[in-house]
Amino acid sequence: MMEYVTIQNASLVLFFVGLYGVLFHRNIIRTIISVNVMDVAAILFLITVNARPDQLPPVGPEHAARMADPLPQALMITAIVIGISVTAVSITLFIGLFRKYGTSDWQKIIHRLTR
Amino acid sequence: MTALEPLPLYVPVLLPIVAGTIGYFVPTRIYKHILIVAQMTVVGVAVHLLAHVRESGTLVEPLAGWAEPVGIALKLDAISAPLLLLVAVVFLLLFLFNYNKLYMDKLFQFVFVSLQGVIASLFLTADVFNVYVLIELTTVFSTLLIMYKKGKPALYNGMLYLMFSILAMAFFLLGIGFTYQTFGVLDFAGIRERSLAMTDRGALILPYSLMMTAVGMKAGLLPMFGWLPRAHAAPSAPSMVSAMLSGIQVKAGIYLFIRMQLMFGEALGTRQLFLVVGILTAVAGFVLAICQRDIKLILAYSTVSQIGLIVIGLTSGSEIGFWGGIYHIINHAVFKALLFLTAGLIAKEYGTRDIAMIRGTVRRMPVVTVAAMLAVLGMAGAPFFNGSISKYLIESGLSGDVRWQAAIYVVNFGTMLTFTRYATIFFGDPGEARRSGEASRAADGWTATVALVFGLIILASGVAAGPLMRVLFPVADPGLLASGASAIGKTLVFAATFAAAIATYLLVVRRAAVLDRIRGVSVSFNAMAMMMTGFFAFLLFYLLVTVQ
Repeated sequence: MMEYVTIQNASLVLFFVGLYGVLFHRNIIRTIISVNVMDVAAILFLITVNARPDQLPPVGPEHAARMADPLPQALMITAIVIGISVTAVSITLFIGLFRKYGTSDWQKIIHRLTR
Repeated sequence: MTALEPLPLYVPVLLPIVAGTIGYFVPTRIYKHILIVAQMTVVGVAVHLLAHVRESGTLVEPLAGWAEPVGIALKLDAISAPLLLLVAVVFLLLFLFNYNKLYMDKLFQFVFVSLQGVIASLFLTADVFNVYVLIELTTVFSTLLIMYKKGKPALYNGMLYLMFSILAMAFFLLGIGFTYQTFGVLDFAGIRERSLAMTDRGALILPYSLMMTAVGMKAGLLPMFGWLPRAHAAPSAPSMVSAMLSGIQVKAGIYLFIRMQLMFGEALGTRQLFLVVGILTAVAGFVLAICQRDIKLILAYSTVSQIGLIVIGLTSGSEIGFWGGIYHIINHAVFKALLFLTAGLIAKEYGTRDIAMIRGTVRRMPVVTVAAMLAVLGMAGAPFFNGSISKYLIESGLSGDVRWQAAIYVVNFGTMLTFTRYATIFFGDPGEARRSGEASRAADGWTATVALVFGLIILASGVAAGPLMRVLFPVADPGLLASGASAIGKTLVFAATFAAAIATYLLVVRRAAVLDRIRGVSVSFNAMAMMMTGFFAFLLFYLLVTVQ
């Protein structure tokens, strides 16, 4: 039983928790947060690829054999930065949207647009 | 050309962005010219690179001195080189077309050329993580452009597009994670090699379905095209942006679809599945297009339909069909861009986008209408126009099976029906309420001329399709391309289909009330996300059942 409790499986659960939030919440702020949770889950998954508990951080020339795989780490720094910037853009948009329509509900905005 | 070393591959990426950044500090009038010169240079560079690719094969360029499995490389091969040229040419034409437009302020132009660089690099990149980064970038840039004119639903359309895109990219990122876990590499060639060598095909299913969900969303495949008309026909987007999104950006999604199929398609055997998805997308696209009243929405839904047709060609399983699909990518980019541009002019002139309110453009804006007619003929696949060539190639790619050919015939009929309806805006009485007697305000001489040049490109790439395709693509059997013998047969088929389309329009479409009901349906974000999850789940289970 306990062998299924790994960080990778936890990240998958987290991903689908985020997806649940996207699917079943109509509040835009919750959508933004849920997509972020999914993003973080994917990032968590990627850093744990090839990772073992006894590995050292990939810094400096020593212990080359025991180092963690540096590639996912380098990539995930990029992914984190992208995630932050995209979230910033979406929150900025949301503020404008909220000021204009006075609601943060996807459904209500559609009603106001079609009316 | 042989003596020349090929230019570095990052030139078409960096040139627009660098020109856009440096030129930002000069007055707007000069800025515009700097960008146009930069874009002409990019076209030249793209031609030069294409010549090299055709002569000596794939160009590879490792960046920052790291060799490929570890480092990042740019790659230009026979598929991406013509598409890179397409990006350069269409962006140049768009800039020329909008030379006199008022909304062309500095910020708009800067965002636009930056997007050009990013899209060019999407065609040049050779690994999946780069794809992730670049798609996120295009998403942010396009969101800004979609909302550029602050119209009423501007923020909603932008928000919907942005959230849906980053949702899809979360799937893509997780897919990258599984890919790296399974293969230990992220570049296209490495993944392809290892996926074919893989004994346990089951390990490919999860990364493929995750990434394909995202790519399918970007390309606008069947259950996931809800965002596309909202983004492409957003009233807040200038027609130049609509033209770019529908002509170029969605093609980047299709290009990634090609790459995904090259990487995993063979090992997983998903060709037939996507052939069916392509047909369904094409049918759904034209059905929805016929229902619309807004001229830009008609064009946007017809983009969905044509994407379906392109996917049919790409997954036809034959070389002719595949290159027909690629040629249709190029053709569709040109005529759909022109259609959006002319629709923008027409909508501005008449002050409405309702197809029922616009009549007699041929009398009010003759040159623009001629250009639009050329595009409509290309779209409908009239003989001698480029659309007929690519549609014919896609069809002959599937010549083995009557069922698929019948499906293509239905799709072409639907396209013709859509554009028969669209063409009603050309004829009739311009209407006295708005007939001012003065010359058209929306289209000045320059804009109309560029539109006409666009239209002539459509005609030329149809008439000279054989030689053009031999220059652009490494087609093994060019003899089949220049089949002039079947021209009369094709003309007859076209005329028959066209007559049937007009009859159907007059007898059925004009009166059907069900169309209004379909148009009234608006899909919320949650429903769109549900459809995407549904596509993912379907793909996953389909593969779990079929792959052994």
